Amino acid sequence: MHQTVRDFFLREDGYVANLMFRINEREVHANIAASCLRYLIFCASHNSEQYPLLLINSWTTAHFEAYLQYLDQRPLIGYALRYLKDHMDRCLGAAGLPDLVARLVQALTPNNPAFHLLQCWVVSHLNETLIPEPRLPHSKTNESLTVYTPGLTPDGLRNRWLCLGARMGLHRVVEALLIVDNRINIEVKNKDGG
Amino acid sequence: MGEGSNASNHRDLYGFREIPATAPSLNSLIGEQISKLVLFARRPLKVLELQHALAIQDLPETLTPSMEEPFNDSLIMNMERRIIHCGRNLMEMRGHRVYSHRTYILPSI
Repeated sequence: MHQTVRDFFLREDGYVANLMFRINEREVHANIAASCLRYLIFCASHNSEQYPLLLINSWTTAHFEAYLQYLDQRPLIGYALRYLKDHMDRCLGAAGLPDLVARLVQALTPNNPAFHLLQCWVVSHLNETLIPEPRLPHSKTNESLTVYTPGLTPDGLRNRWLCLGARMGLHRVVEALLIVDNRINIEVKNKDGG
Repeated sequence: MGEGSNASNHRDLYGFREIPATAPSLNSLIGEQISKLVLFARRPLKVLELQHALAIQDLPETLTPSMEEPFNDSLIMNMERRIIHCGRNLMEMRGHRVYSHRTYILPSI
């Protein structure tokens, strides 16, 4: 690059310095982190409206499939789950992000299916804890409701998501499921091994 | 290069000042957003990911379930063409992913 061109571009008080394309790296990471959080809040909000009163223990296969189909229509979820922490680490102390994190945690109520998906992820990536569903009190009047439904332990639930997602060929969802639960040690590959 | 050419280069460069500082067009604003996302994403973004990242930035601060329709309306149609148009020669698409010529733009990063 010719010296005059370099001077033109790098002059601190010059024309180029005031252009809209001037980039502040920390600010950009904060914006991307905010976008990721807003995207997750947006997706979680949708879910809680779709399945407001239905506890996941009573979901049928059709419910699971509908929910996985919804997740598959949200292609940024995988990126947000995987790289949000990276972006947040590059803009520590950025204003607005703690509020967005609080809003995400608030959106993840126990009757929201995303609650079950993100329980581990919220701890490992946001250093937050979701408040678990309170057990129904034992009493004679609601005895039948207090019986714990087996088969839907966190591991059982995770496996059910994964099996259905894989069977339906929803590779984006399967990838996201593997990101949110780092205890699973497998790689997702396409038919070409990529 | 002689002194005369140098002076001429200065004139040409500072001629950019003569470009009227009008409000940026929609395409240049989208181009700015795309550039930042592509340059600072932790991996090359897929076209669909970029499309959704731009759409979520368009939504108001308060996100509610009723935002589903506005969100879908914000999704840019013909995203590939928009990336080519707004990204000019600074970006390229390979296998549904968007790459920047980062080494030419930000050699220090």
